Amino acid sequence: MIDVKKMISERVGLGAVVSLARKKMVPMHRHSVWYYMGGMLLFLFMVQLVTGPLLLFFYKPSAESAYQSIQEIMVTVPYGWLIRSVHHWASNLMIVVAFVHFFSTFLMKAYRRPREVTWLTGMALFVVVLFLGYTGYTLPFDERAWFALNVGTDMPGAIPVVGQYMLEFLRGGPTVGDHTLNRFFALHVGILPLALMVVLGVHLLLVQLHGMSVPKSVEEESESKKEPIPAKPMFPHLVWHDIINCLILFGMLVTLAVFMPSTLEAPIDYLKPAPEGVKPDWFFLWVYQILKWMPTYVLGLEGEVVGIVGLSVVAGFVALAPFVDWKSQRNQRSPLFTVIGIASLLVFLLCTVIGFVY
Amino acid sequence: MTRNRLIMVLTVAVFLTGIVLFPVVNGKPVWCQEPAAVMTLESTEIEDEEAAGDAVTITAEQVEEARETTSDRIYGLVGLWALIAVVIYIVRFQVKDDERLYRTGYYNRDIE
Repeated sequence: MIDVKKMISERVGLGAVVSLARKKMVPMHRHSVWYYMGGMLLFLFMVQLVTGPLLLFFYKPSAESAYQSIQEIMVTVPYGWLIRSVHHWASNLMIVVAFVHFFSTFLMKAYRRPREVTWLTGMALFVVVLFLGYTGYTLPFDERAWFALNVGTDMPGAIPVVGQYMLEFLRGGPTVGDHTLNRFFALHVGILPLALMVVLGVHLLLVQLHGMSVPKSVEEESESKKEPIPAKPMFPHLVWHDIINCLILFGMLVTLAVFMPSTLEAPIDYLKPAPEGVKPDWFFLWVYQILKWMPTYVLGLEGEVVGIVGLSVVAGFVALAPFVDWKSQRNQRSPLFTVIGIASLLVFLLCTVIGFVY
Repeated sequence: MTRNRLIMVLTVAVFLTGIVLFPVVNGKPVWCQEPAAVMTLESTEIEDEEAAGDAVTITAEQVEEARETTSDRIYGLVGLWALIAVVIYIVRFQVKDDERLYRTGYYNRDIE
Protein backbone atom coordinates (compact mmCIF):
# COMPACT_ATOMS: atom_id res chain seq x y z
CA MET A 1 0.00 0.00 0.00
CA ILE A 2 1.49 3.34 -1.04
CA ASP A 3 1.48 6.00 1.66
CA VAL A 4 0.53 9.01 -0.48
CA LYS A 5 0.72 11.45 2.42
CA LYS A 6 4.29 10.36 3.26
CA MET A 7 5.27 10.42 -0.39
CA ILE A 8 4.04 14.03 -0.86
CA SER A 9 5.40 15.13 2.53
CA GLU A 10 8.92 13.91 1.67
CA ARG A 11 8.94 15.80 -1.61
CA VAL A 12 7.32 19.13 -0.73
CA GLY A 13 8.03 19.38 3.00
CA LEU A 14 4.35 19.24 3.97
CA GLY A 15 5.24 18.27 7.54
CA ALA A 16 6.97 21.59 8.15
CA VAL A 17 3.94 23.53 6.87
CA VAL A 18 1.50 21.54 9.05
CA SER A 19 3.76 21.93 12.07
CA LEU A 20 3.95 25.71 11.48
CA ALA A 21 0.15 25.95 11.10
CA ARG A 22 -0.35 24.05 14.38
CA LYS A 23 2.01 26.41 16.23
CA LYS A 24 0.17 29.46 14.93
CA MET A 25 -2.23 30.71 17.63
CA VAL A 26 -5.35 32.83 17.19
CA PRO A 27 -6.38 35.05 20.14
CA MET A 28 -9.91 34.32 21.34
CA HIS A 29 -11.92 37.28 22.68
CA ARG A 30 -15.23 39.08 22.11
CA HIS A 31 -14.02 40.64 18.83
CA SER A 32 -12.59 37.40 17.35
CA VAL A 33 -15.52 37.11 14.92
CA TRP A 34 -13.94 39.83 12.74
CA TYR A 35 -10.95 37.56 12.08
CA TYR A 36 -13.12 35.47 9.75
CA MET A 37 -13.51 38.30 7.20
CA GLY A 38 -10.05 37.70 5.71
CA GLY A 39 -10.81 34.01 5.06
CA MET A 40 -14.15 34.91 3.47
CA LEU A 41 -12.48 37.43 1.17
CA LEU A 42 -9.92 34.84 0.14
CA PHE A 43 -12.67 32.32 -0.66
CA LEU A 44 -14.62 34.83 -2.76
CA PHE A 45 -11.43 35.69 -4.65
CA MET A 46 -10.95 31.97 -5.37
CA VAL A 47 -14.51 31.83 -6.76
CA GLN A 48 -13.60 34.75 -9.07
CA LEU A 49 -10.43 32.96 -10.15
CA VAL A 50 -12.48 29.91 -11.16
CA THR A 51 -15.50 31.62 -12.79
CA GLY A 52 -13.52 34.44 -14.49
CA PRO A 53 -11.46 32.22 -16.84
CA LEU A 54 -14.62 30.20 -17.67
CA LEU A 55 -16.27 33.42 -18.88
CA LEU A 56 -13.11 34.29 -20.82
CA PHE A 57 -13.67 31.25 -23.05
CA PHE A 58 -16.74 32.98 -24.52
CA TYR A 59 -16.33 36.72 -23.94
CA LYS A 60 -15.14 38.82 -26.90
CA PRO A 61 -13.58 42.15 -25.86
CA SER A 62 -14.53 44.44 -28.73
CA ALA A 63 -17.16 47.15 -29.09
CA GLU A 64 -18.90 45.18 -31.87
CA SER A 65 -19.06 41.77 -30.23
CA ALA A 66 -18.85 42.22 -26.42
CA TYR A 67 -22.61 42.68 -25.97
CA GLN A 68 -23.45 39.77 -28.25
CA SER A 69 -20.96 37.48 -26.52
CA ILE A 70 -22.53 38.22 -23.11
CA GLN A 71 -25.96 37.45 -24.60
CA GLU A 72 -24.52 34.17 -25.85
CA ILE A 73 -23.09 33.37 -22.41
CA MET A 74 -26.48 34.03 -20.80
CA VAL A 75 -28.63 32.24 -23.38
CA THR A 76 -26.78 29.57 -25.35
CA VAL A 77 -23.62 28.62 -23.43
CA PRO A 78 -24.44 25.68 -21.14
CA TYR A 79 -24.72 27.04 -17.59
CA GLY A 80 -23.21 30.29 -18.76
CA TRP A 81 -25.99 32.14 -16.87
CA LEU A 82 -24.92 30.36 -13.66
CA ILE A 83 -21.20 31.03 -14.06
CA ARG A 84 -21.74 34.71 -14.98
CA SER A 85 -24.25 35.26 -12.18
CA VAL A 86 -22.01 33.57 -9.59
CA HIS A 87 -19.10 35.74 -10.83
CA HIS A 88 -21.30 38.85 -10.54
CA TRP A 89 -22.56 38.04 -7.02
CA ALA A 90 -19.13 36.92 -5.78
CA SER A 91 -17.70 40.29 -6.84
CA ASN A 92 -20.51 42.14 -5.03
CA LEU A 93 -20.13 40.04 -1.88
CA MET A 94 -16.35 40.48 -2.09
CA ILE A 95 -16.81 44.26 -1.99
CA VAL A 96 -19.29 44.01 0.92
CA VAL A 97 -16.88 41.81 2.93
CA ALA A 98 -13.95 44.11 1.98
CA PHE A 99 -15.86 47.09 3.43
CA VAL A 100 -16.64 45.12 6.63
CA HIS A 101 -12.98 44.00 6.89
CA PHE A 102 -11.78 47.58 6.35
CA PHE A 103 -14.07 49.17 8.97
CA SER A 104 -13.51 46.38 11.53
CA THR A 105 -9.70 46.59 11.29
CA PHE A 106 -9.85 50.39 11.44
CA LEU A 107 -12.08 50.41 14.54
CA MET A 108 -9.96 47.72 16.25
CA LYS A 109 -6.85 49.85 15.44
CA ALA A 110 -5.26 46.80 13.86
CA TYR A 111 -2.82 49.18 12.12
CA ARG A 112 -0.84 49.74 15.34
CA ARG A 113 2.89 49.05 15.41
CA PRO A 114 4.28 46.73 13.97
CA ARG A 115 1.38 46.26 11.49
CA GLU A 116 1.67 49.51 9.51
CA VAL A 117 2.76 47.76 6.30
CA THR A 118 0.01 45.13 6.73
CA TRP A 119 -2.51 48.02 6.86
CA LEU A 120 -1.01 49.70 3.76
CA THR A 121 -1.14 46.45 1.78
CA GLY A 122 -4.75 45.99 2.97
CA MET A 123 -5.67 49.46 1.72
CA ALA A 124 -4.03 48.71 -1.64
CA LEU A 125 -6.05 45.47 -1.84
CA PHE A 126 -9.25 47.36 -1.03
CA VAL A 127 -8.65 49.84 -3.85
CA VAL A 128 -7.82 47.02 -6.30
CA VAL A 129 -11.03 45.15 -5.33
CA LEU A 130 -13.12 48.30 -5.94
CA PHE A 131 -11.53 48.84 -9.36
CA LEU A 132 -11.97 45.18 -10.25
CA GLY A 133 -15.67 45.67 -9.52
CA TYR A 134 -15.85 48.83 -11.62
CA THR A 135 -13.91 47.46 -14.61
CA GLY A 136 -16.01 44.25 -14.58
CA TYR A 137 -19.20 46.34 -14.60
CA THR A 138 -18.18 47.96 -17.89
CA LEU A 139 -17.27 44.79 -19.84
CA PRO A 140 -20.81 43.85 -21.10
CA PHE A 141 -20.60 47.14 -23.05
CA ASP A 142 -24.34 47.73 -22.69
CA GLU A 143 -26.09 51.03 -22.05
CA ARG A 144 -25.27 50.94 -18.32
CA ALA A 145 -21.58 50.22 -19.05
CA TRP A 146 -21.53 53.03 -21.62
CA PHE A 147 -22.66 55.67 -19.12
CA ALA A 148 -20.43 54.18 -16.39
CA LEU A 149 -17.43 54.44 -18.72
CA ASN A 150 -18.23 58.02 -19.70
CA VAL A 151 -18.90 59.27 -16.17
CA GLY A 152 -16.14 57.16 -14.58
CA THR A 153 -13.42 58.30 -16.95
CA ASP A 154 -14.67 61.91 -16.75
CA MET A 155 -13.98 61.97 -13.00
CA PRO A 156 -10.18 61.57 -13.13
CA GLY A 157 -10.31 64.08 -15.98
CA ALA A 158 -11.39 66.72 -13.45
CA ILE A 159 -8.19 66.31 -11.39
CA PRO A 160 -5.90 69.33 -11.85
CA VAL A 161 -2.63 68.97 -13.85
CA VAL A 162 -2.70 65.19 -14.55
CA GLY A 163 -6.47 64.90 -15.20
CA GLN A 164 -6.45 65.21 -18.99
CA TYR A 165 -3.57 62.74 -19.32
CA MET A 166 -5.40 60.21 -17.07
CA LEU A 167 -8.63 60.64 -19.02
CA GLU A 168 -6.94 59.92 -22.36
CA PHE A 169 -4.93 57.07 -20.88
CA LEU A 170 -8.09 55.37 -19.56
CA ARG A 171 -10.15 56.00 -22.70
CA GLY A 172 -7.39 55.23 -25.16
CA GLY A 173 -8.36 58.44 -26.96
CA PRO A 174 -10.54 61.50 -26.46
CA THR A 175 -13.83 59.54 -26.42
CA VAL A 176 -15.11 56.23 -25.05
CA GLY A 177 -15.01 53.45 -27.64
CA ASP A 178 -13.35 50.22 -28.67
CA HIS A 179 -9.95 51.22 -27.22
CA THR A 180 -11.58 52.02 -23.87
CA LEU A 181 -13.18 48.58 -23.67
CA ASN A 182 -9.85 46.94 -24.54
CA ARG A 183 -8.08 48.88 -21.80
CA PHE A 184 -10.71 48.04 -19.21
CA PHE A 185 -10.60 44.40 -20.29
CA ALA A 186 -6.79 44.33 -19.89
CA LEU A 187 -7.15 45.94 -16.46
CA HIS A 188 -9.89 43.54 -15.36
CA VAL A 189 -8.36 40.23 -16.45
CA GLY A 190 -4.64 40.99 -16.37
CA ILE A 191 -3.23 43.95 -14.51
CA LEU A 192 -5.61 44.18 -11.53
CA PRO A 193 -5.78 40.42 -10.70
CA LEU A 194 -1.98 40.20 -10.99
CA ALA A 195 -1.56 43.22 -8.69
CA LEU A 196 -4.10 41.70 -6.29
CA MET A 197 -2.23 38.38 -6.15
CA VAL A 198 1.15 40.03 -5.50
CA VAL A 199 -0.16 42.40 -2.79
CA LEU A 200 -2.30 39.63 -1.29
CA GLY A 201 0.79 37.41 -1.01
CA VAL A 202 2.65 40.15 0.90
CA HIS A 203 -0.45 40.88 3.05
CA LEU A 204 -0.90 37.21 4.05
CA LEU A 205 2.81 36.83 4.74
CA LEU A 206 2.73 39.85 7.04
CA VAL A 207 -0.41 38.58 8.81
CA GLN A 208 1.40 35.28 9.46
CA LEU A 209 4.53 37.09 10.58
CA HIS A 210 2.87 39.45 13.07
CA GLY A 211 -0.15 37.32 14.00
CA MET A 212 -3.67 38.61 14.59
CA SER A 213 -3.96 42.07 16.11
CA VAL A 214 -5.67 42.25 19.51
CA PRO A 215 -7.75 45.37 20.38
CA LYS A 216 -6.28 47.63 23.08
CA SER A 217 -9.30 47.13 25.37
CA VAL A 218 -8.77 43.33 25.35
CA GLU A 219 -5.05 43.77 26.06
CA GLU A 220 -5.83 46.05 29.01
CA GLU A 221 -8.39 43.63 30.45
CA SER A 222 -5.87 40.83 30.22
CA GLU A 223 -3.21 42.95 31.93
CA SER A 224 -5.56 43.99 34.75
CA LYS A 225 -6.58 40.37 35.38
CA LYS A 226 -2.93 39.31 35.04
CA GLU A 227 -4.04 36.49 32.78
CA PRO A 228 -2.80 35.77 29.26
CA ILE A 229 -5.26 36.28 26.39
CA PRO A 230 -6.81 32.88 25.59
CA ALA A 231 -5.75 31.49 22.23
CA LYS A 232 -6.55 28.54 20.01
CA PRO A 233 -4.42 27.02 17.24
CA MET A 234 -5.17 28.42 13.80
CA PHE A 235 -5.21 24.87 12.49
CA PRO A 236 -7.68 23.31 13.02
CA HIS A 237 -9.84 25.79 15.02
CA LEU A 238 -10.01 28.76 12.60
CA VAL A 239 -9.99 26.43 9.60
CA TRP A 240 -13.19 24.63 10.76
CA HIS A 241 -15.00 27.93 11.10
CA ASP A 242 -13.62 29.10 7.74
CA ILE A 243 -14.99 25.94 6.10
CA ILE A 244 -18.45 26.61 7.58
CA ASN A 245 -18.36 30.26 6.43
CA CYS A 246 -17.23 29.28 2.92
CA LEU A 247 -19.98 26.65 2.60
CA ILE A 248 -22.65 29.19 3.60
CA LEU A 249 -21.18 31.77 1.20
CA PHE A 250 -21.14 29.21 -1.60
CA GLY A 251 -24.81 28.37 -0.98
CA MET A 252 -25.65 32.09 -0.93
CA LEU A 253 -23.85 32.69 -4.23
CA VAL A 254 -25.72 29.90 -6.03
CA THR A 255 -29.06 31.00 -4.48
CA LEU A 256 -28.55 34.61 -5.56
CA ALA A 257 -27.50 33.44 -9.03
CA VAL A 258 -30.70 31.37 -9.39
CA PHE A 259 -33.15 33.97 -8.09
CA MET A 260 -31.41 37.13 -9.30
CA PRO A 261 -29.31 36.24 -12.34
CA SER A 262 -26.96 38.89 -13.65
CA THR A 263 -28.79 41.15 -16.11
CA LEU A 264 -27.88 42.85 -19.37
CA GLU A 265 -29.18 46.31 -20.27
CA ALA A 266 -30.13 47.55 -23.74
CA PRO A 267 -27.42 47.74 -26.42
CA ILE A 268 -25.56 51.05 -26.71
CA ASP A 269 -27.26 53.81 -28.67
CA TYR A 270 -24.38 56.20 -29.41
CA LEU A 271 -26.76 59.04 -30.26
CA LYS A 272 -28.82 58.75 -27.08
CA PRO A 273 -28.02 61.39 -24.44
CA ALA A 274 -27.28 60.28 -20.87
CA PRO A 275 -30.62 59.87 -19.05
CA GLU A 276 -31.41 62.00 -15.98
CA GLY A 277 -30.10 60.57 -12.70
CA VAL A 278 -27.77 57.92 -14.17
CA LYS A 279 -26.10 56.25 -11.17
CA PRO A 280 -22.90 54.26 -10.63
CA ASP A 281 -22.77 50.75 -9.13
CA TRP A 282 -23.75 50.57 -5.43
CA PHE A 283 -20.17 50.66 -4.08
CA PHE A 284 -19.52 54.09 -5.62
CA LEU A 285 -22.95 55.52 -4.72
CA TRP A 286 -21.53 57.30 -1.65
CA VAL A 287 -18.98 59.13 -3.84
CA TYR A 288 -21.73 59.96 -6.35
CA GLN A 289 -23.99 61.34 -3.60
CA ILE A 290 -21.25 63.51 -2.03
CA LEU A 291 -20.32 64.95 -5.46
CA LYS A 292 -24.02 65.57 -6.17
CA TRP A 293 -24.28 67.68 -3.00
CA MET A 294 -21.28 69.81 -3.95
CA PRO A 295 -22.21 73.35 -5.11
CA THR A 296 -21.23 74.31 -8.68
CA TYR A 297 -18.40 76.52 -7.41
CA VAL A 298 -16.49 76.49 -4.11
CA LEU A 299 -14.23 79.52 -3.55
CA GLY A 300 -14.05 80.07 -7.30
CA LEU A 301 -13.09 76.46 -8.01
CA GLU A 302 -15.30 73.88 -9.73
CA GLY A 303 -17.37 72.02 -7.12
CA GLU A 304 -16.67 68.60 -8.68
CA VAL A 305 -12.89 69.23 -8.62
CA VAL A 306 -13.06 70.30 -4.96
CA GLY A 307 -15.14 67.19 -4.15
CA ILE A 308 -12.74 64.78 -5.88
CA VAL A 309 -9.66 66.41 -4.34
CA GLY A 310 -11.37 66.43 -0.90
CA LEU A 311 -12.31 62.74 -1.11
CA SER A 312 -8.76 61.89 -2.25
CA VAL A 313 -7.35 63.76 0.77
CA VAL A 314 -9.70 61.84 3.11
CA ALA A 315 -8.70 58.52 1.47
CA GLY A 316 -5.02 59.46 1.87
CA PHE A 317 -5.61 60.35 5.54
CA VAL A 318 -7.27 56.96 6.17
CA ALA A 319 -4.47 55.12 4.34
CA LEU A 320 -1.92 56.90 6.51
CA ALA A 321 -3.86 56.24 9.76
CA PRO A 322 -0.98 54.24 11.33
CA PHE A 323 1.30 57.29 10.96
CA VAL A 324 -1.15 60.01 12.05
CA ASP A 325 -2.79 58.18 14.96
CA TRP A 326 -0.03 59.08 17.44
CA LYS A 327 -1.81 57.61 20.45
CA SER A 328 -2.20 54.18 18.86
CA GLN A 329 1.45 54.30 17.84
CA ARG A 330 2.34 54.82 21.52
CA ASN A 331 0.09 51.85 22.31
CA GLN A 332 -2.51 54.08 24.00
CA ARG A 333 -6.26 54.25 23.43
CA SER A 334 -7.23 56.73 20.69
CA PRO A 335 -10.94 57.61 21.02
CA LEU A 336 -10.62 60.33 18.35
CA PHE A 337 -9.89 57.73 15.67
CA THR A 338 -12.76 55.56 16.93
CA VAL A 339 -15.07 58.57 16.39
CA ILE A 340 -13.53 59.15 12.92
CA GLY A 341 -14.12 55.48 12.07
CA ILE A 342 -17.75 55.47 13.24
CA ALA A 343 -18.45 58.81 11.51
CA SER A 344 -16.94 57.49 8.25
CA LEU A 345 -19.05 54.34 8.49
CA LEU A 346 -22.22 56.39 9.04
CA VAL A 347 -21.38 58.76 6.15
CA PHE A 348 -20.72 55.78 3.89
CA LEU A 349 -23.99 54.02 4.82
CA LEU A 350 -26.18 57.15 4.73
CA CYS A 351 -24.77 58.45 1.43
CA THR A 352 -25.14 54.98 -0.14
CA VAL A 353 -28.79 54.71 0.97
CA ILE A 354 -29.63 58.31 -0.06
CA GLY A 355 -27.82 57.82 -3.39
CA PHE A 356 -29.81 54.64 -3.98
CA VAL A 357 -33.22 56.06 -3.05
CA TYR A 358 -33.02 59.55 -4.60
CA MET B 1 -8.62 11.25 11.88
CA THR B 2 -11.43 9.33 10.20
CA ARG B 3 -13.83 12.18 10.93
CA ASN B 4 -11.35 14.72 9.54
CA ARG B 5 -11.10 12.75 6.33
CA LEU B 6 -14.86 12.42 6.12
CA ILE B 7 -15.25 16.19 6.50
CA MET B 8 -12.60 16.86 3.86
CA VAL B 9 -14.24 14.44 1.41
CA LEU B 10 -17.71 15.89 2.08
CA THR B 11 -16.53 19.50 1.73
CA VAL B 12 -14.90 18.73 -1.60
CA ALA B 13 -18.08 16.87 -2.57
CA VAL B 14 -20.24 19.92 -1.83
CA PHE B 15 -18.16 22.20 -4.03
CA LEU B 16 -18.01 19.65 -6.82
CA THR B 17 -21.73 18.97 -6.50
CA GLY B 18 -22.41 22.69 -6.72
CA ILE B 19 -20.68 22.66 -10.08
CA VAL B 20 -22.26 19.49 -11.49
CA LEU B 21 -25.65 19.50 -9.75
CA PHE B 22 -27.39 21.66 -12.31
CA PRO B 23 -26.51 19.51 -15.33
CA VAL B 24 -27.53 16.36 -13.40
CA VAL B 25 -30.91 17.50 -12.08
CA ASN B 26 -32.08 18.58 -15.48
CA GLY B 27 -32.31 14.93 -16.48
CA LYS B 28 -32.23 15.66 -20.21
CA PRO B 29 -29.54 16.59 -22.72
CA VAL B 30 -29.17 20.32 -22.40
CA TRP B 31 -25.81 20.81 -24.05
CA CYS B 32 -26.06 24.14 -25.89
CA GLN B 33 -29.83 24.28 -25.29
CA GLU B 34 -29.85 26.22 -22.03
CA PRO B 35 -32.97 28.40 -21.97
CA ALA B 36 -32.58 32.10 -21.32
CA ALA B 37 -32.06 33.14 -17.72
CA VAL B 38 -35.20 34.34 -15.97
CA MET B 39 -35.74 37.99 -16.75
CA THR B 40 -38.41 40.25 -15.29
CA LEU B 41 -40.06 42.55 -17.79
CA GLU B 42 -41.70 45.71 -16.55
CA SER B 43 -45.39 45.82 -17.54
CA THR B 44 -44.81 49.28 -19.07
CA GLU B 45 -42.05 47.79 -21.22
CA ILE B 46 -44.48 45.21 -22.63
CA GLU B 47 -47.17 47.87 -23.15
CA ASP B 48 -44.68 50.08 -25.00
CA GLU B 49 -43.66 47.20 -27.24
CA GLU B 50 -47.30 46.35 -27.93
CA ALA B 51 -48.03 49.98 -28.81
CA ALA B 52 -45.08 50.02 -31.20
CA GLY B 53 -46.20 46.72 -32.71
CA ASP B 54 -42.94 45.02 -31.63
CA ALA B 55 -44.35 42.77 -28.89
CA VAL B 56 -42.81 39.29 -29.02
CA THR B 57 -45.33 36.45 -28.83
CA ILE B 58 -44.50 33.97 -26.09
CA THR B 59 -45.74 30.49 -26.93
CA ALA B 60 -47.29 28.04 -24.46
CA GLU B 61 -44.32 25.71 -25.08
CA GLN B 62 -41.87 28.42 -24.05
CA VAL B 63 -43.88 29.08 -20.88
CA GLU B 64 -43.89 25.35 -20.07
CA GLU B 65 -40.14 25.10 -20.74
CA ALA B 66 -39.47 28.10 -18.48
CA ARG B 67 -41.58 26.51 -15.70
CA GLU B 68 -39.63 23.23 -15.97
CA THR B 69 -36.31 25.07 -15.88
CA THR B 70 -37.35 27.03 -12.82
CA SER B 71 -38.46 23.92 -10.92
CA ASP B 72 -35.24 22.08 -11.92
CA ARG B 73 -33.16 24.94 -10.64
CA ILE B 74 -35.08 25.12 -7.36
CA TYR B 75 -34.73 21.33 -6.82
CA GLY B 76 -31.01 21.69 -7.50
CA LEU B 77 -30.79 24.50 -5.02
CA VAL B 78 -32.62 22.53 -2.32
CA GLY B 79 -30.24 19.59 -2.93
CA LEU B 80 -27.20 21.83 -2.63
CA TRP B 81 -28.40 23.42 0.63
CA ALA B 82 -29.22 19.96 2.05
CA LEU B 83 -25.68 18.79 1.31
CA ILE B 84 -24.22 21.98 2.80
CA ALA B 85 -26.31 21.43 5.96
CA VAL B 86 -25.01 17.86 6.31
CA VAL B 87 -21.37 18.96 6.00
CA ILE B 88 -21.86 21.83 8.46
CA TYR B 89 -23.53 19.40 10.91
CA ILE B 90 -20.47 17.11 10.77
CA VAL B 91 -17.98 20.00 10.99
CA ARG B 92 -19.86 21.20 14.09
CA PHE B 93 -18.93 17.89 15.81
CA GLN B 94 -15.29 18.70 15.21
CA VAL B 95 -15.76 22.27 16.45
CA LYS B 96 -17.43 20.92 19.63
CA ASP B 97 -14.47 18.57 20.19
CA ASP B 98 -12.19 21.54 19.78
CA GLU B 99 -14.27 23.58 22.26
CA ARG B 100 -14.04 20.70 24.79
CA LEU B 101 -10.24 20.68 24.48
CA TYR B 102 -10.27 24.45 24.88
CA ARG B 103 -12.38 24.30 28.07
CA THR B 104 -10.11 21.67 29.61
CA GLY B 105 -7.24 24.12 29.21
CA TYR B 106 -5.47 22.24 26.43
CA TYR B 107 -5.01 25.45 24.43
CA ASN B 108 -4.69 27.81 27.38
CA ARG B 109 -1.24 29.24 26.83
CA ASP B 110 0.33 32.56 25.86
CA ILE B 111 0.02 33.84 22.31
CA GLU B 112 3.27 33.16 20.50
